[in-house]
Amino acid sequence: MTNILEARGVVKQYANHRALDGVDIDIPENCIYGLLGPNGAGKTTFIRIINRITAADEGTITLEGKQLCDNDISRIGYLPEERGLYKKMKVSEQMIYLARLKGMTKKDAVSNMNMWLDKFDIAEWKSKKVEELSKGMQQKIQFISTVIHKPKIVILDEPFSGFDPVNTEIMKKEIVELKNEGATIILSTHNMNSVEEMCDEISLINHSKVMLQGNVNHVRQQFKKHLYRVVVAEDMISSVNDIYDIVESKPLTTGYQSIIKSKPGIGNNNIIRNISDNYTIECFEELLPSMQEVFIEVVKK
Amino acid sequence: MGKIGLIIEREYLSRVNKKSFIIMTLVTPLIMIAMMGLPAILAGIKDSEKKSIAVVDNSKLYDNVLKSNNEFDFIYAPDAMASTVNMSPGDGYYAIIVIDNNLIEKPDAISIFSEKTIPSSLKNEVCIQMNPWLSERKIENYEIPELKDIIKESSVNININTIKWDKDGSETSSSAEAASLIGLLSTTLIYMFIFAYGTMIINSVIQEKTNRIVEIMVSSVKPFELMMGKIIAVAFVGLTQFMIWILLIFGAMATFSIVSGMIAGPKELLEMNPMMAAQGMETLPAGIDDSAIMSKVTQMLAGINFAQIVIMFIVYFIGGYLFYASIFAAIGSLVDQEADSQQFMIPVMLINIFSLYAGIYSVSNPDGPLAVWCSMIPLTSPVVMMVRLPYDVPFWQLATSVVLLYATAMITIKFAAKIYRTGILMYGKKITYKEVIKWFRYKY
Repeated sequence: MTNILEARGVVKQYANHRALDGVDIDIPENCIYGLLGPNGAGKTTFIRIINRITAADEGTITLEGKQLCDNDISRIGYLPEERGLYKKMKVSEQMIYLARLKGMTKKDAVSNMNMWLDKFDIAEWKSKKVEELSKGMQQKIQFISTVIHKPKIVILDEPFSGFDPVNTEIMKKEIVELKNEGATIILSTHNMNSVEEMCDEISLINHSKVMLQGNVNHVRQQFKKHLYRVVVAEDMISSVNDIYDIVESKPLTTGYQSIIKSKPGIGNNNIIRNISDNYTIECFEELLPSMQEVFIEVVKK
Repeated sequence: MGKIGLIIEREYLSRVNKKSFIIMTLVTPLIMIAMMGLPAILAGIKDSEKKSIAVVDNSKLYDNVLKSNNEFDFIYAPDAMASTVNMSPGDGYYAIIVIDNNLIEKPDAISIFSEKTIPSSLKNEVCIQMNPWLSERKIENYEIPELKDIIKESSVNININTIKWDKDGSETSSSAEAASLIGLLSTTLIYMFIFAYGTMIINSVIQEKTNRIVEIMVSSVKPFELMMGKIIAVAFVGLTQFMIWILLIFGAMATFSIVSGMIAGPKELLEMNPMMAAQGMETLPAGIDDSAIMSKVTQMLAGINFAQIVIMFIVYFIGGYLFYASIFAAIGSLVDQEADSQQFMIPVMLINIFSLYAGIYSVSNPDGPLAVWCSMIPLTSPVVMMVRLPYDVPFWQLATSVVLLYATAMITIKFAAKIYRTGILMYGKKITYKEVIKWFRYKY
């Protein structure tokens, strides 16, 4: 998989603090890329550098192998975390204006807008002023404005905030669809469930540096605690000292569940064999840490 | 069309299509005309009710000197009364005039009594009627034959023609009064324009910032394009309004002069206008007929180069506006809400108000050091130069002033852009001057 966007040694220094300190990030083409990190870690600064809102003091950013330049912003769609629209403008005027600023012709802008409005079934909002719409409606308009010019890279900063669960699902579906149509999506969010659910790759930024980077499943593997969940039929399993320790046990309505931690160098088969000697195994699974746990572990370090 | 063109288009149309713009554009000239004409009209409205004034002439010298008119009914008490006590208020008289003695010998022997505050119009009316009558009696008392005619003939009223020499030696009649009036008008107008449209920039920047649309905007266009697009669009709005006003004023003047020419005469027209009266324009010698006045007005205005004034107004408006608007854009970007803009606004306001005062002061001395210096310094030049323009400013001064103004405006725009692009993305933080200076070094 080739990288669509590569950042090398990006440094951004503000008057009183260094927002980015030698950041290297590779974003593979046509994936959903999670940009994670606590507040103030430098995510927004990094996104702004990609958008050419601000420039890096040091380092390079390449888009499809070429140095990122001002013309490239027409190929990027950006939904900032702090978002808004011109309240007095009509929905259609607003969308066409934003699309044309991204370099679209008026005709293309109109046809794309109509396509999206029909898709969300909100064509009747067209001639309403933005201030007449509810917050959720405005968010939808905002999302359409972000992708109306068919950008190659879509940057979404906390895209689900302000959406109810139904609309959140719709948004998730649309994001996946954008990916299927060939776009690369950079998702900056604190919602770790959606990261696990949607992201292929992630970078975790903390204190202006990249702490962790890679495929979501690999990352979780990397942070695994060698914990297993076992359910057996007969009784609570007892610990076997040189193979595993029991972390916790509790009876279920049928059977008994235990969380066990294997000793270093002990393989799964070894554990299963050991338990199945004495019990009937009803369920056995390895517990991978959630992204939430990975996040907290990395950030607290 | 480039991106900046799109921004200008949107910013311009969103303002010009607003109801408030259309209303303001049409109503403001009416308000201005009303402000000039209203005092005259109000003064002309008399109380509909005639006021009865009792006159008690204890001296018995002034029977029937005071004649009733539309406003006051002077009623002489049938019998000279010993005192005013008998004629107490409440008899239906508005006021009582009591004359106790010979007024030529004792001018203060006349008093007006009333329950209410005595209006100056009553006092004036009594003076106007009494004074000439008394003067005549006094002249008669000298017992010199034909003294009255001698005095009348000796009255002199000079009429100075001011004539300006052009370079080729030809003469143009110019009027100092008309020049100063036009200078004052254009100075006030340019001050209002720069300030009103500059404030529009501040509000618009703050609105985009609080709306949070600004981050979306700068992900599509450069902050500089956004700022300049806005500034240029508002300048066009200002010029549009100016042009509409020019047309309206000329249209109104034409209609007004035709209409008033039919009902009144140009002389009344001039006297009705207190603004002109204040400027001493109606110091017209008595007895000149209407056509002479008309030609005099034409003559006074002929010495003034209106085309130059309108063109220079536009040149100075654009230069001064660019200078102040870019500062206002920077200020707008620094604050989250309008109330916070005060700390940055105050220095700018002070300079602006100073320039207006310097301009007004320069009316009386348009070639004095204050006027010359202030019309060179870019901070004040747009406002002050407008005062000097009707008085033929030397070309080198005009050129220096314009070049300085535009050069400064360009530098200001450059620095304002640096502040703006950082400021618009800063939220929830009080920004100090010290921090702003650091931003000049940021790389973009």
